[in-house]
Amino acid sequence: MAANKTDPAQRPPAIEIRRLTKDYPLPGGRQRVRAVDDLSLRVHPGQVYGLLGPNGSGKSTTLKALLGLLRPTLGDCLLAGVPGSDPAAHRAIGYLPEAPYFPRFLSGRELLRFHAKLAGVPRAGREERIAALLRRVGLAHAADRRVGAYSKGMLQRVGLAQALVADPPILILDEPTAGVDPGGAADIAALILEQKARGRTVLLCSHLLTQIEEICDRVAILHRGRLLAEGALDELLGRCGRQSLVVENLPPEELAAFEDWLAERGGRLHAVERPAARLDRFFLQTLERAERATEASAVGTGGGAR
Amino acid sequence: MRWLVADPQSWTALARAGVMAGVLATAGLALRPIEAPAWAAQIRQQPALEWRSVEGAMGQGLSLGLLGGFRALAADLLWLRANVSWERNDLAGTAAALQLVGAVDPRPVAFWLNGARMIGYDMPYWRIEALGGEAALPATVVGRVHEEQARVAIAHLRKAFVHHPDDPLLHIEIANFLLQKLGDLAGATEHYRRAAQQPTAPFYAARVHAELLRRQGRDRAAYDWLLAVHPTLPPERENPYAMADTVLARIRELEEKLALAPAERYQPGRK
Amino acid sequence: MSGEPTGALRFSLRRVGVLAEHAFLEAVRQRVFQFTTLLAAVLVAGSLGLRELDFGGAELKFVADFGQGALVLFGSVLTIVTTVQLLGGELENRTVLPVLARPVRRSEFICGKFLGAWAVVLVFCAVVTALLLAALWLRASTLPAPLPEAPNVRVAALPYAGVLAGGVLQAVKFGLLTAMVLLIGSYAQSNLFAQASSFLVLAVCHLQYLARDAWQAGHGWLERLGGGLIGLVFPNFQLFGGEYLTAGADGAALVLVGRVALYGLVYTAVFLSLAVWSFRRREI
Repeated sequence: MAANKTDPAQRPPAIEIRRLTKDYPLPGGRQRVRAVDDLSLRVHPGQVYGLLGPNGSGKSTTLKALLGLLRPTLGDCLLAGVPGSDPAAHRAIGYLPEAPYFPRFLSGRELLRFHAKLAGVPRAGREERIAALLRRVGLAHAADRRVGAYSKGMLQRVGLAQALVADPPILILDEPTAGVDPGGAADIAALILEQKARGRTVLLCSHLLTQIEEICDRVAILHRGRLLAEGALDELLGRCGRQSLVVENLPPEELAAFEDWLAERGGRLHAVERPAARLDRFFLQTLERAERATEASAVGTGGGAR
Repeated sequence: MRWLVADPQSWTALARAGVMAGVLATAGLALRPIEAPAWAAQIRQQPALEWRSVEGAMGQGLSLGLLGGFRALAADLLWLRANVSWERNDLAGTAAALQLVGAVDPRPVAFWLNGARMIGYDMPYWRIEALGGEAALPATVVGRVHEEQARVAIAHLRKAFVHHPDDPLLHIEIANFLLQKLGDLAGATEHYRRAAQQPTAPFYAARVHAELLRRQGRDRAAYDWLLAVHPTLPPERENPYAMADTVLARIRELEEKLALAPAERYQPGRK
Repeated sequence: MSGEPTGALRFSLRRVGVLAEHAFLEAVRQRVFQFTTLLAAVLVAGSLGLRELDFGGAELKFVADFGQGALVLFGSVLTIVTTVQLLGGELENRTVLPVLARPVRRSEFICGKFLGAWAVVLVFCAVVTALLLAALWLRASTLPAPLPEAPNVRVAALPYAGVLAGGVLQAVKFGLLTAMVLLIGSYAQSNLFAQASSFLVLAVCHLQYLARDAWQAGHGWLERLGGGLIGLVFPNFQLFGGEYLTAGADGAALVLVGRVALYGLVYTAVFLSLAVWSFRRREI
């Protein structure tokens, strides 16, 4: 039976971690700390995969082993079928480290140019691509400012731009929205979804569970180096076959009738709750309203003379 | 040491260090034939360090500079120190610095010459001032101080001959001390002779030697000397400082004084 | 997007050049390069002020000694501090992570750091040597001509070719020192350790000849063995002093300069190879 190439799960995995174990020796040599314990997972092409876990759960160690920055004690990691320790595998990836530090003496544009050259981006069109990326991440106004003068949010944005500079098929993002304001985080989430729409594979670590929930297809939860749970988000959260309806002013007696109506049709009312508005949505909506009002008043005062 | 034995990581680190040392030692061995001539040339240019002379100054941070191959610079800095002490009329400081300079780097002749001049021409006056001034001292004491310092200066210059056996300026400097400070006409004469015989001797060394012979009443010796010198001099029109005509005039004076017959007299150009 | 062919990643001089350019730019924009160059220039220019002191014909030697001393002293400091910062600083600040996540071999990374650091020191050597030559020429042009009264008396003027050759030797030595510091930095866990070890190694290399003397004339087998090992493992930095150049850069002296340069370059290649080997095993 031929492989179904349109089904991501049928294609060879973009990222594969096989029984990864990493031990660190403690001073004295007799004891070791196991940072990752027998971890296996697969990320198929076109998926956005979230790696979750508290601090010290082994997420960063897993990413470093994947990138060949450290040697697994056991197991191996493959990127597009090539061992991650082989620099050739890095042709396929763009990486954003956690709390990225970049050379302070370079401007944003110079930083992207450096990474583009390293990645082998052809000279023809290189500068245009860099300029477009800087516009896309909202740093066009600071492109020629030294990175040392960037805020934390700007560092995240330029880090994302350098990860994208070679247009890699696989993105590995470690805490991409750390230190970024909600508006910026929303932009970054939109950018990740753009990459997904283009068929790119994204592996991301984040502490912002609401963000993971919005953009990831599958997640894995790590704790003390062990995989606790892994799977599609809907399956893990038990959302398959369920819908949410938000109604106003439904009296309790009507609610009972509605429940009966559902039962007749094979459905079930699972829970009745008061929906709470999400703060981040409220924040963004408030900002958007304020910006619209500002634009409207500017048009009103300036548009009088025609 | 138990952790070193028990920890495989330590063994790995030790093994790696061993491999590196082995590779470097092999490279060092292989490169010996290439470096050997250069090293031999290097140490030939550096006279042996007189450790006894610098031992007292070791605690002053001199040792590392000397060992590390910075002898020339160390000597330059010591010379600066000597000059600073000289400006302050500090006899002990100047003398100590001059001794160190000579021990650290005996190659520059200028250090020996100028050092001797400080010792022989300046230090007597410092000592006399320290004793109360020339007006307060008997002439014999003043004279003795000058003589003592002149002898110290000559001893200082003699040390330089170990490293500069052919340098005429050292002989000339000794001769001047002998002549001006010690009244040793014979000794000065001999040193001007040695100076004049060196390959890099100034023209005047030969003339002064002849003059000193003449002052000792050794006219014949002066005459024979000038006869040997004059043919080696360039003509006056080529180099007026060689003073060939003046030397010829001296020869004629001596011929008159020695009452030589015309046939015995010097004929320039005839061999 | 990348124009690189698929398949195994071969060692690329292009990538080494990109990394070297990056390292050079970083080093030049740091204060330590500007500061040490300025300090060395001030020392060389300051030696011209020594005209107040009477050194006779040896004055030019004085200026040359000060210049060479500035070159050696500040050049050594610049080499060690710059190289440690370029490698150790990247590791400490973790700016190395996105770089090694690129299709970059660790050998290319180390070679790029080496070339970038050495380029900085070469610029320093060129500037200081040029200043020294200018200072010598300036001073020599104001000195009175040798008296024809003593035409054969040696004038202590320093041959310019000798000074230039001396600058070249120091540049080669600093390249070797760069490679040695990279080897130390490839396994050092802190910048402080790397710098301290590097300065210690510098001192050992300057005193290496004592170890060789101990091997030949030492008392006891331990002293001789230790001396022999040190004498073999560490290069002899005193070779680069170029004492044989004081009389001039004649043919024989230039042959010796060539030998020493070859010695330095071969040792540099060995240390660099060991640095690559060591860094390949390092976990970031």
